[in-house]
Amino acid sequence: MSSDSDEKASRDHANLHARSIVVWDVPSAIERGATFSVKVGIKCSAECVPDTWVFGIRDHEGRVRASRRVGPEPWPGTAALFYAEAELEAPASEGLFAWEAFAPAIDGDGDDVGHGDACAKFSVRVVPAPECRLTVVAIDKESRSPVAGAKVVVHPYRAITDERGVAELRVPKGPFRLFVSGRDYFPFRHDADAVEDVTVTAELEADLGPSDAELWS
Amino acid sequence: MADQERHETKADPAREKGLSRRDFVRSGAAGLGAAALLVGGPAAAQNGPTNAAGIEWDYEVDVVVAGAGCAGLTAAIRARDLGASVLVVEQNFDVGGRMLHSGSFISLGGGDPVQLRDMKGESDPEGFITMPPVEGPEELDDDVELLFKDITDWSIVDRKGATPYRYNEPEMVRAWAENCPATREFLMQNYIRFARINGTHAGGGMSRARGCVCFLMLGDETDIKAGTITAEDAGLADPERTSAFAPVQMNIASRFVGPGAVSNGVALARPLEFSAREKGVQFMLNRHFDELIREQPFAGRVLGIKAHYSPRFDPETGQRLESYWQNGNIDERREVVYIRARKAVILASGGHAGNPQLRSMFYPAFREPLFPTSGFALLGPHSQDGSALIAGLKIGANLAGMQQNPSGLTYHISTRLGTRDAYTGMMPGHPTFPFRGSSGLDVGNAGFEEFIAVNQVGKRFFNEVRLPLRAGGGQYPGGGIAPNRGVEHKPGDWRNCRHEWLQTTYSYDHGLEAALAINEGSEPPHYYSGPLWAIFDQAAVERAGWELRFPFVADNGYFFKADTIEELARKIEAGNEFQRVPLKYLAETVATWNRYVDEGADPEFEREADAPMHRIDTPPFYALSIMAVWHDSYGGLRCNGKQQVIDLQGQVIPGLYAGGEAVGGFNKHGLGKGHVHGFIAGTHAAQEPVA
Repeated sequence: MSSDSDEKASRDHANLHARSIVVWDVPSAIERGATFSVKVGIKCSAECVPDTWVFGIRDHEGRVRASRRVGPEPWPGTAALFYAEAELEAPASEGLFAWEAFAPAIDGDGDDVGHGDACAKFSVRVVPAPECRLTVVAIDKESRSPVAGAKVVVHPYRAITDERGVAELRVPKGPFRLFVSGRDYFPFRHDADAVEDVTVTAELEADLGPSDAELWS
Repeated sequence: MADQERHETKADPAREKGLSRRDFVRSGAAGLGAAALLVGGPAAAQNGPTNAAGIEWDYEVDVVVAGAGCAGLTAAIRARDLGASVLVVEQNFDVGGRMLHSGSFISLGGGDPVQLRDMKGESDPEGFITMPPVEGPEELDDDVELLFKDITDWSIVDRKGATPYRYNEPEMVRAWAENCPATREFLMQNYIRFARINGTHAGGGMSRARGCVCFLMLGDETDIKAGTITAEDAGLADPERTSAFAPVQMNIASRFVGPGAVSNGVALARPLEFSAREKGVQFMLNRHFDELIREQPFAGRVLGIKAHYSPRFDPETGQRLESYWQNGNIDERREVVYIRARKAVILASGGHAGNPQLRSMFYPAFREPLFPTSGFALLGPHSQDGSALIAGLKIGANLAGMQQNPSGLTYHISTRLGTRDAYTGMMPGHPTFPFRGSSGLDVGNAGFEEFIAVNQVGKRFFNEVRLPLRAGGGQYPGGGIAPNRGVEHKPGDWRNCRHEWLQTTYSYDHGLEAALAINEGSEPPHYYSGPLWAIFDQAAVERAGWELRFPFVADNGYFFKADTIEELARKIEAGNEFQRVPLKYLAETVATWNRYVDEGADPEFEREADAPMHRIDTPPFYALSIMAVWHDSYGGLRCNGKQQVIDLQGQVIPGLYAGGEAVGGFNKHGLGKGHVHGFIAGTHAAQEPVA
């Protein structure tokens, strides 16, 4: 059975505006011990404008790695997602680490911000130093012309082709799966072993959709 | 259907079918109650046939045609050519049916005049065609016997495991094959210009090239006789605007015609309509065909039809929508009229793809009313409602081809997202655009890499990049489904379907079936699967270059944007009329997906084998509707070789003909079926004795 004070605390908690945290721009691959940054945004369900909202970032061992106050302007394209960028240092060992961003119900001065706690998990992928250069040349299979803006992914490494259709990734030695996919192109897949610097030409097949004969009556 | 949908959405009934409240009230539905809406609908089938005795006919003509689409319009012109007075009753406010929003690809053959023209390397009579033939003479060397053999070929099994030809009604398709050359000629005599033959579409046979699109030439004025159309009328003057003349912007047809040519259903439907009006065919638009009147409930001649007023109103202005051309229209506004047919009634009012109750006899999951048939904005709430089938059943007609219905091309997941009307890309400028609200965003197959697809509770249900892929149909030049391709194809060869071969050709992912499956939000008695949503972030928008703005998307309940995933889920639930339950798993699903991306593997659906995976974490966040579209109807009324409707005793129902998607037993996609049916039906209906 709860006490009157517990009930009041519970009621007060329910009256707090709920908040959500969003974490983005986390690099997909970070070298050991490297410095990187992420963006963290906080949104109140009632779209309150923050006064003293802060967030922290806690690593996989529960250690707080950074603490920041969100800025006064919402992230572009959003109505009320207030954000700040936090600079962080990657762990010294390789692996995929579960970190979290949290927004406490009290501000840095210990005052109640009138909003509930919020938390969001994100992953930090720490990789070894690269050993090979993988150069990808994306071309249209039919026209042989370069495909700019194609997505090049060798998990967890990512790049975008330039206007020459070229992208460069630095990857560790060993087996890899390369995907190259462009706007209006089906994904090109290539499985290989990285033993030295290598260039792969990705012939992209256009996604033309069904022909008239297939689609239309 | 309307009543069913009203009960099964959570929303204001005035929103059904994209109608505004004003539209709803003006339609008379609000004042008259559900029964008025259901005339001709499923409930009508439960009533007995109307007694012919005592009917006071409001109109009397030789031939009554129900439906102004490809079969109906062709039948009407043909019957008129043979001297009959003809009245076409059409539920929509304009003429053309699905033909108007189609690609105009008509697959005929049997040595038709366009095949012969292309074999000789000739141009068209007006000299518009400047491109050489696409197909070689050997690919066009066709005859009726080969065509008939092709379209009754027992041995063809397509990539989906369907058998498109073996169940076709032989008498009907024999007559169809025999009339293909004459129908092509007939269409050419009615202002239709055909481009070069280019392959064949599904159901048109495997041995020869038989299909082509229709075209007009861009010019200073729209002149059907001269074969020209302005860029404005063609919808080509502004990339984001079409016209009242062309609901869907026309395509450049330079490859199959030459410079300045444009094609799609506009180059077919409008010339045919022009010809029909010129020849004196009369139209009663805004009038839905409801019932057949027969001398006795299950015996005697069909005497005429009963039809009710079905106008459509602009959601903004409240004005009644009017047809593009008016000459030949009968402006009849009484609620119900009876029209006597002295010679015959021709049913060409379409199939049943827009009737969730009816189509659910083939696939119960498609009872979900969220998913409309193609072109519902253009054609209105009564389109493809099975009216011919229902009316036929009430007077004792038999059915055919019902097992052919869920075949290769019947339904699919559309790559056009963010609109309920996902089959075509209609732009603003056509009076029915407000019924869809947005043109949608066609992301292509490749675009499915950029998002996760979730069901009504916010859970993923399939490998997204495999969702929209289609298996392809059984068509020339073989599509990889027979060992011998193109002109080498051997109809009826057992090797076409030996199991060792089929194991190499099967290529269908059942993504649509997963999309329609029962999920945690499905509730008895119907267990609706609910809406499907593409969930993505700002980073995807930038990668893909999608333009998330009007007219591609709009605040119409099929596109949402939010600062967070939690907010996105709330907005979808509040804003979509068919979102009956909360997307309670959406935030968890996105978090799980992001973890899969970080780990480089999707243990649920193995996306990592097919395409790169991308986090969904950069605000703002978006949702676009994903639609399953049921397009074709292959089951319908049974007909003989004259397109006369046959009863359950195998006897002709005197005075009743049918064509197009109202008819079953011919698993052929598209216009070619309807036009020839119409030609045959019009020919014989006009020759009936006066009753």
